[in-house]
Amino acid sequence: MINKKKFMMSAFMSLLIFSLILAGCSNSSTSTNSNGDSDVFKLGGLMSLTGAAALLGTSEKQGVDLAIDEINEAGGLDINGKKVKVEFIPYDVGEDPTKAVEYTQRLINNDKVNMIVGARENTQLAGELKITDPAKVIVFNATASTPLLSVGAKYGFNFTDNGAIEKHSLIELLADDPAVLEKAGLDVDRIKDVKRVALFGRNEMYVKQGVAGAKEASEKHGFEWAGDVLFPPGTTDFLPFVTKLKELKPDAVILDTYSYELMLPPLKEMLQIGGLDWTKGDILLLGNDVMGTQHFADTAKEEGINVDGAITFSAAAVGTTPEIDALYERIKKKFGKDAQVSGIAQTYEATMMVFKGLEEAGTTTDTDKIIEAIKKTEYDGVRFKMTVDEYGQLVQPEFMLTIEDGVVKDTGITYLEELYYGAANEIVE
Amino acid sequence: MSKITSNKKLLSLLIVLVIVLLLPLFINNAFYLQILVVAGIWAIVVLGLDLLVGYTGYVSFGHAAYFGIGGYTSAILVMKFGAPFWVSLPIAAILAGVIGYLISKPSFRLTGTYFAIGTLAFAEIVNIIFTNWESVTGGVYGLIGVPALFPNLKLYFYFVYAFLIIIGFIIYRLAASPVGKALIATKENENLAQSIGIDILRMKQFVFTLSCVIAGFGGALLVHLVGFASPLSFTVNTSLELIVIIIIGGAGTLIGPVFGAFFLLILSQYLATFTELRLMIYGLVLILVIKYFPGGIVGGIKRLATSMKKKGRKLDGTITSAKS
Amino acid sequence: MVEFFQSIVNGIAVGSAYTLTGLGLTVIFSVYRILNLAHGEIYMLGAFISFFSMSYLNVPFFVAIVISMIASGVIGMILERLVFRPMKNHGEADFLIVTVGLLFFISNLAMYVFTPNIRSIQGPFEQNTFNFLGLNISQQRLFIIIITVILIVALHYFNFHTKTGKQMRAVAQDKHAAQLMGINVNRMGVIAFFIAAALAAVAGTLMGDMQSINPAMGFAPLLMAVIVVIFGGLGSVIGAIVGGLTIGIVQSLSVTYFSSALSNILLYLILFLTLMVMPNGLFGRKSYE
Repeated sequence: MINKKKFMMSAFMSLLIFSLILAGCSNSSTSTNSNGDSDVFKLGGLMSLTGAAALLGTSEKQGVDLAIDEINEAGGLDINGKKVKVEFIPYDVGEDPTKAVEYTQRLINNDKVNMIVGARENTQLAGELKITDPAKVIVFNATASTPLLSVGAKYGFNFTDNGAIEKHSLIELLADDPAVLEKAGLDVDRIKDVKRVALFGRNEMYVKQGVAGAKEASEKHGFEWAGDVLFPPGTTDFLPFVTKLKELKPDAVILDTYSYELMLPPLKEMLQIGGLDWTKGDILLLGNDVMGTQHFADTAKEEGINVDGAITFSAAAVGTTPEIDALYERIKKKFGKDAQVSGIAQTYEATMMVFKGLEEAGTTTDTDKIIEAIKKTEYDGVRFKMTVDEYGQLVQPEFMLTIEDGVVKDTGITYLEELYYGAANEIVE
Repeated sequence: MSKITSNKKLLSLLIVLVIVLLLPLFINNAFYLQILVVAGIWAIVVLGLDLLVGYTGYVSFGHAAYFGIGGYTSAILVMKFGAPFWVSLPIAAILAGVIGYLISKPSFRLTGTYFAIGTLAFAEIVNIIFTNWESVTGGVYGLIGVPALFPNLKLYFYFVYAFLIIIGFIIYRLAASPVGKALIATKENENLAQSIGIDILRMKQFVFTLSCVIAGFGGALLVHLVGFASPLSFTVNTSLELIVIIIIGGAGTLIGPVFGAFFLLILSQYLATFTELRLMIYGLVLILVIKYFPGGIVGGIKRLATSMKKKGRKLDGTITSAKS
Repeated sequence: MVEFFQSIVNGIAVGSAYTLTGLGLTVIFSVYRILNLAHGEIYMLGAFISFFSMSYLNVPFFVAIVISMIASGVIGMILERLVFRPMKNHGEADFLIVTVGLLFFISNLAMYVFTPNIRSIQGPFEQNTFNFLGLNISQQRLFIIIITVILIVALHYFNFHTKTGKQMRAVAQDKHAAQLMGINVNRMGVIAFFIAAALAAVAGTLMGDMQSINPAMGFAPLLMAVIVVIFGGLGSVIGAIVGGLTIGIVQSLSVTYFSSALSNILLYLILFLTLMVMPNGLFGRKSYE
């Protein structure tokens, strides 16, 4: 009897559940008017808002939020003279790439978006792009740092440099003319002492791209590749790894981690174990672009870490222009003084540029037109004039920075075309 | 009496079948199909795992390993050796089973918490291999561009649900057979079961291996569905999620975990924009289920039904009464 | 040779941090027979409480630790009373799963309340490195080792030389007999949770100072601590010490001589193989029936 009941119940429950699914997930209200173009433009979002990468994901989301709020407060996007409001539909993809696939399907098929910002994590992005590209849905991101979004996808835009380009710039600087370095106020002797270069980072896709870039740049410019130390995801204690780094006897170390909790502890260890102390000239410290933000320099100082002398790069000259200050102020006003201003600004500007492209395309639905329009768009960013190349890769100069007395400073050196070779334009496997 | 029962059973089974067969005719939305297929795959996996968790009381924190072994095996066979699916899927399941079998013997020297952490340790080893054996698994990149089994999701749906029903039927028969009864006897009192001549170790090994075979098969289905195999898909979190589904659905009821798979998947879609709150609610539901709804959703419904009939039947206070 | 010994020293430093985190797990297990997987979340909360004490109450580092120990201890007591005590009739597996639920709940609640931002605790340590026979150890690492030793000694003293400690051991050995002897088993449970949470607060604060604090900081250290206490044997303080040192040294040596990216595989392999030979870890007593 119980068995019978069980089966009846299962039949009933399956019905119930299936209908729940059908009813439940479609909370999207499409307000489409008669001529096909809707009066609301929906932008999907795939962001890691929980788990270990939540900090980065949150700042991405805030960047998009800020852009959308400003557009909507001004009445909306101007599409052929018609005001179109923007609606943001962000989903949390956590850390699991299969979730990204589900949410991509949901955004495309249920929420009917034809543009998505994110995901950032490279594996998630790979899964997402497999669906979005055939469906002609545009994907862009300002922090993903991967060629997957440029050469890897027809409908993708990468609004930041990628791991390889970044590393090219650092090595380019090491190899630059001493006179140029001298003029930039850098410690020429220290830089010209560098013979062996090593890289430290987490064992993940982004860093592998970085290793490939750093290695080929070192070869190109005649530096010796001392090796890389990649720690496994979930590492809590960096002491053994930093000790291994020390044993590679590098003259320059590229710290290729991009979040504070992965940067501060290794830096502390490097100062403490001896032999890797950049403040004493043991090594030359080359940082990821996060290191080139004043916020990081300040946080490091609070933690008792002196990052003076470090060389890093950024998509922006050092933030002293009134435009940048104004943007940062708006961010702080909206998200509090702890907000990750530079990360938020980066996503904000990318989103604004895409919106400008939409306005210039004069449509929110014709994907091909939008793609063409964005590729022609010039957005007057607070950092530099933003354009993308034929692959959808942001044409971004690398501003080489250094840190002096706890303050991030411009060296005045920038690189652009010379960085685009090898792994810059290919997906390293 | 029993004949009537089995006829009715057949009827209700038929109803379920018809519903399932008809569903794709009404659903043209790829997203609904996608999550129904994903839920179906998870349901297959937890069905197998429930035989271990619910029937023997051994909690595995490491089934993501077998899930992943199946996924990677099928992906590699198809991508690197050009194997057809009807070869790669069975081999994926078998390999996961063989590895599960080899691991099961030593693992059952452990009990309770030690067993859980022992299985977790093995799963971590497997994950590190996925992450680092670049020439075979693609390392941190994983394997991208795993071919789909079918050109469209509807076929996927039929395939997955056909297997859900077949596997469900097999496991259901198994649980109702003397093996299942022996398992329950084992769970209740291992020493006693041993003394009446049940070869407990072999029984547990069999169940463990079977759950690994099924997990491996599920993993293969998943990898072809999403189009990539990544080490990030088979982590501790995946293992924990499997257990959460079983507990919330109702461990040891077989049908419960299947509902659990659907329930959690739908819940996660409902709460998709609530981010932190989503996982918070998962945690809370988990605690409440263990404390107040022994037997999960299905157990709760059953209990409600029985208490409406007659009060007073006391329930076993433990869902997965542990070995100790 | 220096490289080898330096690696051992590093292993000891890393391992004692693991031991420190694992001690609380051991204390709870010795009374409650459960592995509290939410322990890492108390560790995280402890770090945050220290941080807030320092930044809002402007108390010095060591006072903040004491405040955090007490506050976390109270949180531990509340958890015991609300979640664990009512579950006395449940099996070991249920407890394990409830702690998983707590882990999800607390870490995501913290993510929501504290935001995922990174905070830093400003400890009193300088970037000093002591050098002895060519081997280096930083001031901060040395301090963590010393604190770990002190806490172990204190725990030992408490267990063997105080009345409450003796009662607690009686409960750990045989709950029913202890009850018959008139020991208040519930009280022992509360005390165990208080001590465990206070230990987690110390560990979280010290490690949070060495690294940085955020709501996601609890899970990875928990996993290491679990490896340590399972390897050493649940409920055994000696086990936690030996486990911590072994795991720390193995990890350090494998990074040095084997492969950094693959280093964790040896930890899990050793854990797995040890369990195969000794199903209750190195020093774990057989669980009671």
